[in-house]
Amino acid sequence: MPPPPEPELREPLLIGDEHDPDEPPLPVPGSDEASVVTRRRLGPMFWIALGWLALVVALAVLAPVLPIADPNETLDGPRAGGFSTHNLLGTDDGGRDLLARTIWGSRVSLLVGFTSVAFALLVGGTIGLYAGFYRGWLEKAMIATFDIALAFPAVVLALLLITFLGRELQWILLVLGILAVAPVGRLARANTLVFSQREFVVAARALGARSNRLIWQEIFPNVIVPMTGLALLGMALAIVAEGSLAFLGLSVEGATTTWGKMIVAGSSGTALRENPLTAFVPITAMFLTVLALNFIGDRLRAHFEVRESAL
Amino acid sequence: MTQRRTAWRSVLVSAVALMLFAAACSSGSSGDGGANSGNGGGGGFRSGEPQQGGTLRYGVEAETSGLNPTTDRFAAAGYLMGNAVFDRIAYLDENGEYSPYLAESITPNDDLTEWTVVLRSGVKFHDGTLLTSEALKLTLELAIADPLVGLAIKPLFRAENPVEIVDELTARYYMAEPNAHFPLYSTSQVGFIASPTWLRAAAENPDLNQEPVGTGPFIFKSRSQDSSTTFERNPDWWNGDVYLDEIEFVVQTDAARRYDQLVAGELDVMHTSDPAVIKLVRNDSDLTSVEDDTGEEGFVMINTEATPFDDLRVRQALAFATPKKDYLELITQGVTDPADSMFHPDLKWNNPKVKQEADQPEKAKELAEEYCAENPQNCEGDKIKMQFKYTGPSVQQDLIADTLINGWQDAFVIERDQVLQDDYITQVALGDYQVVTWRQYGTADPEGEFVWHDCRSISPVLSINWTRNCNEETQQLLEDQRSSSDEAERIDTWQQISQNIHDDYIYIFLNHTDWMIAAQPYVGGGLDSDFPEGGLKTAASNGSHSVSQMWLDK
Amino acid sequence: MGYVLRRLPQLVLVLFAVTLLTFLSLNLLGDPLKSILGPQYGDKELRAQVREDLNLDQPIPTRYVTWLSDAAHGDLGRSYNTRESISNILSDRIPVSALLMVYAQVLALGLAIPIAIIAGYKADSWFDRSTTTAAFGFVAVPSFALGVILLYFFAVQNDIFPSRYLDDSFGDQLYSLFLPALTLALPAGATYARLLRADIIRTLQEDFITTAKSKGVRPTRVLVRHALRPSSFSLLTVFGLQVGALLGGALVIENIFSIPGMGKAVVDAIFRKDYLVVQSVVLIVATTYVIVNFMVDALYNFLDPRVRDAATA
Repeated sequence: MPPPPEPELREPLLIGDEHDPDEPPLPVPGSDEASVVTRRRLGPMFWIALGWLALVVALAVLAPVLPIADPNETLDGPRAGGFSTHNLLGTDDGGRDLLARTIWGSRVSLLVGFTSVAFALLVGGTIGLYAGFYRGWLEKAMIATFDIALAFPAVVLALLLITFLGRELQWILLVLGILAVAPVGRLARANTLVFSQREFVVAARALGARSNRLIWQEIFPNVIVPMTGLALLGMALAIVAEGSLAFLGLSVEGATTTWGKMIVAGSSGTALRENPLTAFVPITAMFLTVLALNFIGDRLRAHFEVRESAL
Repeated sequence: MTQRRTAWRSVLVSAVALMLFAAACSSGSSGDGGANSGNGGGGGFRSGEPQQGGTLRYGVEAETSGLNPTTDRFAAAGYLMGNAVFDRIAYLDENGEYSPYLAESITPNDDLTEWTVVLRSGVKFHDGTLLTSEALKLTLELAIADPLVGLAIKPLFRAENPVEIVDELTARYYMAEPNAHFPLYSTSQVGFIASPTWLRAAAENPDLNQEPVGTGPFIFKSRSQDSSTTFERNPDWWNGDVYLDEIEFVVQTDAARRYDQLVAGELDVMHTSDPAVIKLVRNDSDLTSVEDDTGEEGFVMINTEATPFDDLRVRQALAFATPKKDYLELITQGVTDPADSMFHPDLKWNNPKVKQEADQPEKAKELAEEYCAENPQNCEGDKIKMQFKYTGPSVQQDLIADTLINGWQDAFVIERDQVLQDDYITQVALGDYQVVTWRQYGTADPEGEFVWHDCRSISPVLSINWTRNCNEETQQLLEDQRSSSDEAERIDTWQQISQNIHDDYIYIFLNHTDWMIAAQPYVGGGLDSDFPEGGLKTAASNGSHSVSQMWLDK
Repeated sequence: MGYVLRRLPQLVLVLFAVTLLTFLSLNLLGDPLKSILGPQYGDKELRAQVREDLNLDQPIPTRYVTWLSDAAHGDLGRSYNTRESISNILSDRIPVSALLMVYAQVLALGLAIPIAIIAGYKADSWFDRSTTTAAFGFVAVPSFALGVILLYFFAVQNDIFPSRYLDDSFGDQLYSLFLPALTLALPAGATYARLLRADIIRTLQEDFITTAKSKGVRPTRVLVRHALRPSSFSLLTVFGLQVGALLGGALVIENIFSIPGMGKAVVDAIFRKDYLVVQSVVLIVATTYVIVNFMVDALYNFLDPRVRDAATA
């Protein structure tokens, strides 16, 4: 049976990508040209995006020591208040400080992004590496498994799993991690296939290098570079997924503030009417973060991409 | 052990049902009638000559799971739709006194163990069958047999043959013990009488629970769940003219959106208990409205068997630490009155001497220090360790939790835990909680609240006496009022019960719930039901009311 | 046709795996009875009844086969919460959700195709630049955030669109579903537009286009006949994949706009722990997705001569 056409066709969806035609044609992976082009073409927007991400991460990490209000402190300011010196981004209908809530909420969003992608890289990446290197039944089994996982629309699979597992943070992290395994695994396999056939690998193999050494010392460093682009796009997807889950009542339970839950709160009842900031502050934070991740991921990918169809 | 446990869990279901049943009983209020009135739930909208015709669109806050009074739990929306399609055996008036409605008479025997109901003759169900006492018997039997609705009423009637047919129009109910309050139960959900033909068919195929058949002013037409349910005029209604051609209940769970739709003319009437929206309507001179705040109370509830709350001082400390002012500002936004007890100040049952303490963090700290000096194992420093459960996921409940915790943390170290609604009631009934937020009460006659304080409702595993507080004096008072029909005496008794409940610090009362019915100015007619004998009797309460006399003049 | 037949076993295999996983999810927490009945678990009669209804005494493979064949006949079991049959709960909602999704796809394509053609034809013009930037932005906007924004401007600030679902006529349906459909369509349309624009620019640089142009063929004809046609294949693929995103997105968006579709049912079911309803919705959505993708592949194969030839070779 010939390999099904979906894999290479499905790829663009998950990463939502095609490259800009006014950019130079795709460099050959691993060639010198790639690094040169990267350095030359990153552009100011890239650095602005990176700066925003750095700011968000720094605020999230430093949240406990920052001079901001307790995110759950009611009547820290007036009910549904606008911008003020005490509440820089206004307050919600409980008089809770929106800046503090947004910063604390970013911790969950970033955590969701990081862990899901880390999990996917660890599990999916490893499986992809071995599958691409050894081929055979392992590869077939992997493709079949990933096909099945991808046969569920992401939100629906998350919904199914979290309904049964529960809304504790660890389950949400795990489920979003599981969702990212298949696309990451596929890309890892595709890249591995390319690199296993490159001269330096073939040569090392001819010299009798052991498979494990080959995989981790020769192939892995080359595969991980183009994967970072995908990883960033995956983080963006995970952050959005948390928001979708919040609208289904399945985001992290209890007192934990998340961007998704903030947007839900800001868009329900009279909140939107009384103070649109309640919804628009977290929406803006999430949008800019997702935009920055997409932008950086896109740029990185454009320069390191390997298409399965190129095999 | 497993056997025993499951048995208890099955009883637990009754707890859920009981709560709903109690809500069901609630009705009536001390209304002074008229549009835009404060506390009164009576009256209606535009007066004048009723106009014939038109479709009235009514925005309701939630969908009801089904419309079978013997199997589905009715909340405000369920009652509204129930009032359209069914008639009840009896109605409560604004003074909490009942009048027969579908019944011609309701009479007890001398020792109050038997109640005889004689139905009106010639009343027809929408399916063409005649109303007979068989319907009474079947309705009660099916309700008792139902795992949810049944357990709420089962204890009230004798186990064998709770109801017997005397003749075609007469049925006799047999109570479990002398009970002066049978009419109260017959004004509740189980007082809705449905067609026996339909009830039997629905028992076979529960999908039919969505297509009710009653004797009411409107006939079921169509239903699309979570969207709308439409009823059309019953031209042969036994109780006079129905003006509307159709009434459509539209589900819109977000109160602010419901208000938008009312203003835009997409709806003609809506109900709501959301304080922010009530404020919007009050300030909107283009709309008319009726309010009633004699229904349920919102309060904090404490499990007196859970350490550290088995100590009265800890319960007192929690009350003192409660930020009631903040709560009233943020949650009820000054729209509803603060509550001091389970009775609204306008009700005759209210004891004006009972005051709910709150907002005294210094006192709370003193008590906490005192307690912690003796019980350091239950404390962190000078603060008592406690667990607070609330339901969710809900934006509003999160805010309530944040608000309360902000005050409590002066004297307590709080671990918060959010629980799904179904699990919430289960855990409370099993005693698996220390402190929760709760909404309850609002029965027109407090007899309906007996069970919450009944020592016999406490058990080691499952308890419908949620707070697991047995006060022997209260118990005696409760029993006294049940067998008494002397009103002045009963009022005295209930005022004493109120005081006892306060002194036990099992609840921290926060607010009365205000229900508002808002309408476009072209909506006319009473929210009350016209009785065959004439006169307006029932008032709007807990978000539901009679819809038979409404009309439109667009 | 040959392609469809050859791929059929694979479709069956994936459907088998998807349905099996959905079926097994109920056993994830141990005793499915507990999950299904929740607080009513204590009711012995009910337990016995559910045990019988779901054939819980039989081995899992038998149960799976019975469940699947029942589901194929439209019998999804009964909600033990409301006692209503699940097919009755969902029958009114599936058409609403389906209409919303088709509507969103039509809007997305209706927006994307003309914009992409103009942008591609006039690459680097102000129109191209602004639409390309906007598209990049829209891909990054979560659809629920877009929903909230549209709700604010069109339902709270103005009364341009009704804020409830109307089903009196098809026109009413389209009118009242416009905002939710647009919410789903903008991110999807942005994805289509970006893809199509890049494709068109690439095609326009190819020799046969230059030849056609030099022969005096009108630009619109060149665009539609020569540039759009080949691009439509890749568009078709992405279209199939977007169905997945839309299926998930629709469940969320329905809840923002109070549309009585499957999304509303699933949220209610989650809150009530009505697992059988959740399971049924997942079953319907996942199988729809698999089948739509299969059909898209088949159509792709049928339309694109290159793939067709490669397959027969």
